[in-house]
Amino acid sequence: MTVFHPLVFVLTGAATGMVGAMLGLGGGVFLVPLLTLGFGVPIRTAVAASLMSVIATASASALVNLSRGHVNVRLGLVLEVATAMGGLSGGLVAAWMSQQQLFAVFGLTMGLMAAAVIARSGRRNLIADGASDPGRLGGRLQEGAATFVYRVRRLPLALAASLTAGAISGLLGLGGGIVKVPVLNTFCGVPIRVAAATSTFMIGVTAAASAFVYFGRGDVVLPLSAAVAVGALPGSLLGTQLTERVEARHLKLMMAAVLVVMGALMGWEAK
Amino acid sequence: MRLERTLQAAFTVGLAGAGTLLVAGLLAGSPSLLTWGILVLMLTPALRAVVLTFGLVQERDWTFAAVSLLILLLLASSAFTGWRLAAARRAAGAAPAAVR
Repeated sequence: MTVFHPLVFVLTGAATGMVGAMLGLGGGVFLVPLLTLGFGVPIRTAVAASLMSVIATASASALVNLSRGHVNVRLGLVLEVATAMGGLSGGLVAAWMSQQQLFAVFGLTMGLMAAAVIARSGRRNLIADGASDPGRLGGRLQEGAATFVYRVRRLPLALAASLTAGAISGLLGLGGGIVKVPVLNTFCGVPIRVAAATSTFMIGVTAAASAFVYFGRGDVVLPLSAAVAVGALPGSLLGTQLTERVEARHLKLMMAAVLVVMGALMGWEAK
Repeated sequence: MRLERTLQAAFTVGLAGAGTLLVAGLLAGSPSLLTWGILVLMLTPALRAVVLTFGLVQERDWTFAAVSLLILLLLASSAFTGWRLAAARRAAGAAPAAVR
């Protein structure tokens, strides 16, 4: 393994943290391939470092998103339970599916999801009448001077997505936001910024649950993990500032682009 | 909104602590500072889970308080697993992660 200056990893963590914070992903989806393919880091070391960076990114963005009122705490909690159960069942799924089959299924799912996100990118999930009832899990969103209402639809689908996201986290060491954010936004009526903010509020916990185990096993290489986490802190804070200036539609298209690239990469791995 | 502010405080304390320890550890090349930094970082989501559970109990939102408590227990069991794995490695004479 070539020795890189720690500053390289600080900058890598900052870049993945920034994009992760914008889309509510945590950034593991970029960081694990970057570390393994780009820097030749062994996969378990890369996953452990990525988990630390996801915790830093998720916590820093959640901090900002809470002050903006974008985090739907109760919806987050309900989905967190499904994610945790998915994390536990991930190991069971892995037992009867080969790595190739897993990659093929995920790659295909992401491709289909990208198509759905693009097809619906022009639609907004907001109800203009700020006084209407958001339901038990819905909420309100302030945009400029106007208050909008959104309702959560198709909760079972959101739960299934969270379960899958949890399983992916356990299997591939990702935060799982890549599944939850598009499903919440495209199918469940949650505005993209709320979906992303709620996701950042959840994935810190998901990542921490795996991180403890990696730490105990001795997979955490301290300088590497510290460097990406230290970079992720300012990177994600910058990302939360940028996301406010970007139109919701552009955020959705950015998400679709990420889905297409990741789907293609996974399809390539499955080949 | 009070619950949101308490949650923000939990994140701020955890991240400021972890960030300071990690930067100091990287600059000083100190494995023990880095270990503490990583531990504080991993405990930040746990701290937020504790704060959220108490907050929901205070708001008398029993359903969601129970959900939050369940997540806290899952997190605790994972931390316990990690701790036991680390103890087993030490007993087996493996070098701790800090030295490798």
